[in-house]
Amino acid sequence: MQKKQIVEIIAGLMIITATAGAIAGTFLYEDMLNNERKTIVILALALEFGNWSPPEIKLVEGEPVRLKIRNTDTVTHGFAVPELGIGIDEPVEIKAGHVAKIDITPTKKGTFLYVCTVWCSKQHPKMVGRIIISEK
Amino acid sequence: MKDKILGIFPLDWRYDITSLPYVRSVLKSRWVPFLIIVFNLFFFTIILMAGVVGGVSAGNYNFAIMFVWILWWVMLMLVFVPFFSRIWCSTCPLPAFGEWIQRLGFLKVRNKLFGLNRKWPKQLKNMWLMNFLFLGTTYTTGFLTTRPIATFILLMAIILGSVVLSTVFERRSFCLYCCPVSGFQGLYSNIAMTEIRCKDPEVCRNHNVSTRAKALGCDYQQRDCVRGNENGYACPWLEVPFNQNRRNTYCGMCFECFKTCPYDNMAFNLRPPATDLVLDKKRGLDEAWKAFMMLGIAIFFFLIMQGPFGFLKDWANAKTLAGYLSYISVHSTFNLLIFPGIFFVFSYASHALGRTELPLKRVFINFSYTLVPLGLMAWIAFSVGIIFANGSYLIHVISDPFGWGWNLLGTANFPWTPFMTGMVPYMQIGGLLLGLALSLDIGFKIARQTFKNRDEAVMGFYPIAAFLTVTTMFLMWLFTG
Ligand code: SF4
Ligand code: SF4
Ligand code: SF4
Ligand SMILES: [Cu+2]
Repeated sequence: MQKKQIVEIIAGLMIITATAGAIAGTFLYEDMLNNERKTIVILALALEFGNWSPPEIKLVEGEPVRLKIRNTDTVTHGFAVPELGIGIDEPVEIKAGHVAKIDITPTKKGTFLYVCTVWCSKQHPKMVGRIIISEK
Repeated sequence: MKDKILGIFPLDWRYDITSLPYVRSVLKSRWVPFLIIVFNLFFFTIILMAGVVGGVSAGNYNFAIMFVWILWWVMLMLVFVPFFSRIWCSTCPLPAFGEWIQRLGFLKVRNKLFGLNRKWPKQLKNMWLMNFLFLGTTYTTGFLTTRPIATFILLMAIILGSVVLSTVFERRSFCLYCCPVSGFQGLYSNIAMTEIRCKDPEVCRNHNVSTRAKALGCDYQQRDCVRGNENGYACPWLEVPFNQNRRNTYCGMCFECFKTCPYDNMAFNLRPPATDLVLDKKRGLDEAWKAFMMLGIAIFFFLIMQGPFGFLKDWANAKTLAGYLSYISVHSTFNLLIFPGIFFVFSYASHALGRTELPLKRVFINFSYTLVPLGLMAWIAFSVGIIFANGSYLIHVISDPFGWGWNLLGTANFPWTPFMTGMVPYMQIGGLLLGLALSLDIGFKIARQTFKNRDEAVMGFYPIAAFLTVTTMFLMWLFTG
C-alpha cells in the first residue's frame, strides 16, 4: 500500500473514533456505571410535563437496587417514599438538571407511594408515583 | 495611504504571523486544520447526543445548549470574529462531511471534485438568503435556548444541508451563501485584526502567466492558488486569494492557498481593526441589511433574555400562538423595515447636507457599514452579560453532559455562580464606547470617499454621526439600565 493511502485510512479512523467511537463510548461507560448495581431510572417532571416516569416501579424484596432520579425539568424536585422511610430523615432535593442516586434494598412487600417533596408547581401535590414490592 | 484607524494604527500596517518560525510549515501541512476539525467533530458529536438524550427542558443544564449558545456563540462574538476573522469556519466540523464527499478523501488532494459542481445561481450570490435564514433562525430563539432538541435539529439541518448542496453545487457554496451563521461572520470579519492576503503582489503578478492567457485577459486562472495543484485545492471559498483588494467577508481561512502557492507568498497578517470597512469596493444592499439586522437582533435578544419585559419572553417562547405571532411580526418589521427606515432618513439628511455626485442609494449603502463596529460591540456587550452570569453552568455540564448523573471531572455539583457581575456594566459601556469611536472613525473615512471634499464630508457626516451617537446612548441605557 502507498503511504498516501495509509494516511487516508488513519484520517478516516480518527473521524470514526470522534463520531461513532464517542457515541459507543458514551453508552459503554453508562452501562459500566449501571452494572455496579441493578439500576432503575426515574424521570422527575412536574405534572404539566408528564409527572414521574415511569409512574410505577416494580421491585423485589431483598434485592438491592439503585434508584437514579433524573430531574430533566426546569424546577427543583424532591424524592421520598414516606412509608419506607426514604428521604425522610435526609431529604432528597434534586435541582434542575441534576441526578440523585439512592441505593435501597426493599425489606417489606406491598405497594407504596413515592412523592415529590418540593413545591414545584400548582399541581405539586399530585406528583406521586407507586412502588410495588413483590416477594422473592 | 497615511490614514490611521482611531488616529493610532496606520491603515496599511501589517505583521505577517507566518514570519514566526514553524507557523508557515504548520499551515502548509495537510493535517491543519484537519486535526482541529476532527477534535471539533468529537465535541459536536457530544453536543448532538446531548440534544437528543440530555434532558427535555432544563436548558441551562444541557450540554448542547450551554456549549452552543453560551460558549460557542459568545466565543464567536468575543474572540473569533473580532480577532481572527472567520477562523471558526476554518475548523468548523459541520460542512466537513460535504467537503470530504466532494474530495472523496480526507487529506489527499484530488482537484477534480466529486458531484455536479454546478455554479451557484447568480441572483443568490449575495447575503440575502443568509439574511432571511438567519432571521428565520432567530424566530426560534425561544426554543433554541430552552429545548435541546431544537439545537439538535438546527445543527443537523446545517450538516445535511451542506452535504446535499455540496454534491450539487461547487465547493463551499453552502458556506458562502446558505449557512445561517455565515453572513454575520463574513460581515463582522471586516473588523477582524487578522487577514489572509498575498505577501508581495509583485510575485503574484509575475507568477506563471502565459502570454496567451494574458492576452485573453483571464490570466489569473493560471495561478496555482486559484486553480489548485498537487499540494492543495483551488480556493474552496471561490476567492481569488492573491487579490489585494478583497475583504475578509468570504474567505473561510481554510489555508489551502498557503499549501498551493509555490512561492510561499501567502501571509496571515495582523492588521489594524476594521480596515476592510474602508475599502470602497463591492459594498451592497445585502450587506447593509445584514448590518441593520444584526444590530436590531442584538437589541431584541437583549430585551427578550435580559430585559424588563417578561411578556416578550413569553411571546418568544410561544406560550400562546398569538404572542408568538406578535413576536415574529414585531421582530421582523423592526429589523427589516423600521430600523433600516430610520437609517434611511438620516442618510437622506446626509445626502441633502453634503455635496456629492453619488445617488442617495450609494450614500445609504456606504454609511450602513458604519453600523458594523457598533453592531459587533452590541453583541459583545450582550455576550459579556450572558457568559459571566451563566458561564458556571458550563462547569457542571462538562462533568455530566447528558444529565445522567455522571461526574467525569468531579465538577458535576458545581453550583451556579455568577462571576464578576459588578464589572459587567463597565465592560459593556467601555465596549460600546469603543464601538462608537470605531464607527465614527470609519464613518468619517467613508464620508471622505462619498463626498467631494473635506468640508462637504464634514457636513454630510453630521446626521450619520448623530445617528451613531444616539444609537450608542440607547444601547448603553438598555444594557446597563
Ligand atoms: S459557513 Fe457555517 S457551516 Fe460553513 S464553516 Fe462557517 S460556520 Fe461552518
Ligand atoms: S500561487 Fe502564490 S504567487 Fe501565485 S498568484 Fe497565488 S499567491 Fe501569488
Ligand atoms: S484558499 Fe481561499 S478561503 Fe482558503 S484561506 Fe485562501 S483565500 Fe481564504
Ligand atoms: Cu415536584
